[in-house]
Amino acid sequence: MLQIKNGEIGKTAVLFDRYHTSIYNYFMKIHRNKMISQDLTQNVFEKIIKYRSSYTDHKNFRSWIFTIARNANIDEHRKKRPTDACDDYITLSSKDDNAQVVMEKSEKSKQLMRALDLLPAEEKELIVLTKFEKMKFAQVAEILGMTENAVKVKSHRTIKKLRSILVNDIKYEY
Amino acid sequence: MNIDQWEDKIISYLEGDLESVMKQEITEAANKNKEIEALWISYRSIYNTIDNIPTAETCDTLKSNFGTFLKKEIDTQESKKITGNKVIAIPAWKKIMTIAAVLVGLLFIWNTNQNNQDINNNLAEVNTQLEQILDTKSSTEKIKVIRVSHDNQSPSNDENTKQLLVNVLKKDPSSNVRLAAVEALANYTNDDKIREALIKALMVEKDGFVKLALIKTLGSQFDHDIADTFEEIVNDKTNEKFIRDEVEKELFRHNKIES
Repeated sequence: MLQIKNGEIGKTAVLFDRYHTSIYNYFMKIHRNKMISQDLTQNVFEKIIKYRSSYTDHKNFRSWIFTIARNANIDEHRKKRPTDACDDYITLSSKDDNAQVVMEKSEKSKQLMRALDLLPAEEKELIVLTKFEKMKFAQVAEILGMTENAVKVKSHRTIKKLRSILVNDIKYEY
Repeated sequence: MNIDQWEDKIISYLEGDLESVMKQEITEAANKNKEIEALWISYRSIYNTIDNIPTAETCDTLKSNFGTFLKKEIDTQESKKITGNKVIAIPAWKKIMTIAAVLVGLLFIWNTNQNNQDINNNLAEVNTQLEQILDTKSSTEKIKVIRVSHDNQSPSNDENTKQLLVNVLKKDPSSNVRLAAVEALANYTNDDKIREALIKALMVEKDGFVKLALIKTLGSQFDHDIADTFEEIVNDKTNEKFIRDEVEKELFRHNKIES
């Protein structure tokens, strides 16, 4: 990233290869829409080039790129584009599972995504970052501008809320 | 401990915040209390479901759109650099000398061309074949043509051959074909443009064997840019260990030569 900051913008291709799937998945979990997720992912990498001078090497790069992704997301929410949620990528397959088990797992995954949609945007984002992206609380704190402890407490509460929605509203069968 | 406290314990345990002895306590409590058991099973199922959700694959359009955008940005950056430079007036005598030098050069090339007419005819044929191989389906055919391109008597004079080989290295989906292109391009590492293309290829290459061939080839023409790229690879822990080891070996070899 420091090389990009120093003007070697061609190196952004390396960062794109390394991070685009992760960023795309972050958007997919939030919007569940391929077209919007692709637009936003492209937008993030364009912004990396545009705002390269704001990067400082003491900052964790992953946190920095997700901060850009988050801002792109906030802009998208402001646009309020109509979306059709699409879960067709949640097609599980495993050599060890039979068809029925695969179907049950797929159904549970879809129920989980529906429950996520019922959470307020910031709680949904917290779950995506901590649970799906497996980010450390310290990294998430950097992205959300909160303390590490606050992220931990909020994440704890949100997972409780998610369970409650799953069990009581979605009728999730565990 | 009330049910809320048990719920917190279960989450902490699944988050990896508690020691394994807690699992025993949770299991025992779940055996005694149906409510705790339901909490334990449901949370375990939710965490498993989260882990089971597959990574959504991106489509090629995303990559090609970004590639187009990046190329445009690089071109804009380059044109800014050119317009930013001062235009220096060249004296007339320098212009005459330059024209004379170009004419002598052209005469020399014409003379060489006359002597190597057969070789060049072969070269033209090889280049035509190289141009076509990106569309060829058989990797074996592609490798055969690439090998002919550098078995030729004097391929190093031909910019077109070099560029075509670089294109193969950039675009061909087969790692064996790309490997053959690296072997062919190894003949031209004294050319700055080729070295630059090899460095770029090393930064984006995914295949371990092609990476190793690129490291060996670049190691044979070690310079400041290559050293920077190598250091970047060593410091990036996402790279495979055997790649980092190989690069470290090259860095060590050259540091020793310098000292």
